[in-house]
Amino acid sequence: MDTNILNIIMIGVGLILIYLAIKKEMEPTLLLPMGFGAILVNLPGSVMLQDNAILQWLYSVGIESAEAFPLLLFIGIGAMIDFGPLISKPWLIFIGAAGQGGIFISMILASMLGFPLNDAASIGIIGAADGPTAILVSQRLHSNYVAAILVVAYCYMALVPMIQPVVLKATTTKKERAIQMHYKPSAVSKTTRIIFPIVTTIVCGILAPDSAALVGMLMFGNLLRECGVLDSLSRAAQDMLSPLITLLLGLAISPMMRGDALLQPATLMIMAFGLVAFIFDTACGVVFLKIVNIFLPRDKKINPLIGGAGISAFPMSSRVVQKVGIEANKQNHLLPFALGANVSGQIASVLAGGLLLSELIPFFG
Amino acid sequence: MPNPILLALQSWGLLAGALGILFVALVILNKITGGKKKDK
Repeated sequence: MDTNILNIIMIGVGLILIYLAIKKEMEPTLLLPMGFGAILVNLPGSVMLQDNAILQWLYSVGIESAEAFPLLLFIGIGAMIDFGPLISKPWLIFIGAAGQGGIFISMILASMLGFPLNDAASIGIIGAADGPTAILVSQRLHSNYVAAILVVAYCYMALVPMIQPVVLKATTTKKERAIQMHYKPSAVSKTTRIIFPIVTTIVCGILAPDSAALVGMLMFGNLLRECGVLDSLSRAAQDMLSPLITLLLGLAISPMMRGDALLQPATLMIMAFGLVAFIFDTACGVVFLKIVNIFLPRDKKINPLIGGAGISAFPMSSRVVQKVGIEANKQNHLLPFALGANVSGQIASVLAGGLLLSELIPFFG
Repeated sequence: MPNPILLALQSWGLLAGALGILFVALVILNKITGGKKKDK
């Protein structure tokens, strides 16, 4: 197809992204800069794609050279996360592992349908439901579909409230959804809150060295929050660093939003695989708890909806689980458990990305 | 070149293992610090 027509289509896509950001409030911090950037780089004779143009510079500095933007963003994200619900109920951590099933299933399917393994893994990582991880993995594996992967990843993250309820209801019975969970708040010591990010960094860094940067930045941000002596830095990371980097990241991705790069037949397949990843992330978490319930006595069964929060879409996924749980049983209060599973999913998704990088960088890095 | 299915199983297994180690670490931490209940 003629490049000019592709450019025009991409300008239309940019307008759609801006509409979704403003009117539908879907991930506006990212979709708005991405949409506007898409318009800029697809204008006829656009100077924005020259080597010394600002968007190219942002891409070169923020993504290409050291993946700086995703990593710095993770400091802000870590500073926002409260791992208390997970620390107080450590068993929730396994839901995070189960909730990454969609990544691997999608990767296998993409590979079986002809995508090279680096592209298949990058496509699968859409299931991480985590923009920085998707950027880092697809960039370091030199995927040919970085732009499509990012747009699809962020769009599906915004669609979690629509996708997950369908999957949750399809994979559970009403009786299971109505299982009541009794939450007993338990205090989490400050010492544990401080040691947890340090131990997590060490464990993940040893097991998956390529995840050390992502996990490290996430946990560093969390340590800023929990240490109690750097409140100003923690607030800066949450309130200034995170929005600023998100803004710049959206613009930095723009050079990849050219019509000839994004509008490929493979983009439709990537959209399908992304949906598969999200569906199976949710389903694997639910099925994991259903299997666990087989071994539990009747009065100790776990509501399998909580498994749906093992995906890394924080905190939307927790709210979805809470809402679906209340629809089945108005007495139910799944949010504390779902939040614990959700933050576990955040760690698990980053670790999954790092593990795939560790295995595939020798071949594609 | 790794086999995709083996890669998926291996990575997922390692992921579960890593989180299992973190689970043990959390249980131990909670037991050790359980007397110093100072919630933020």
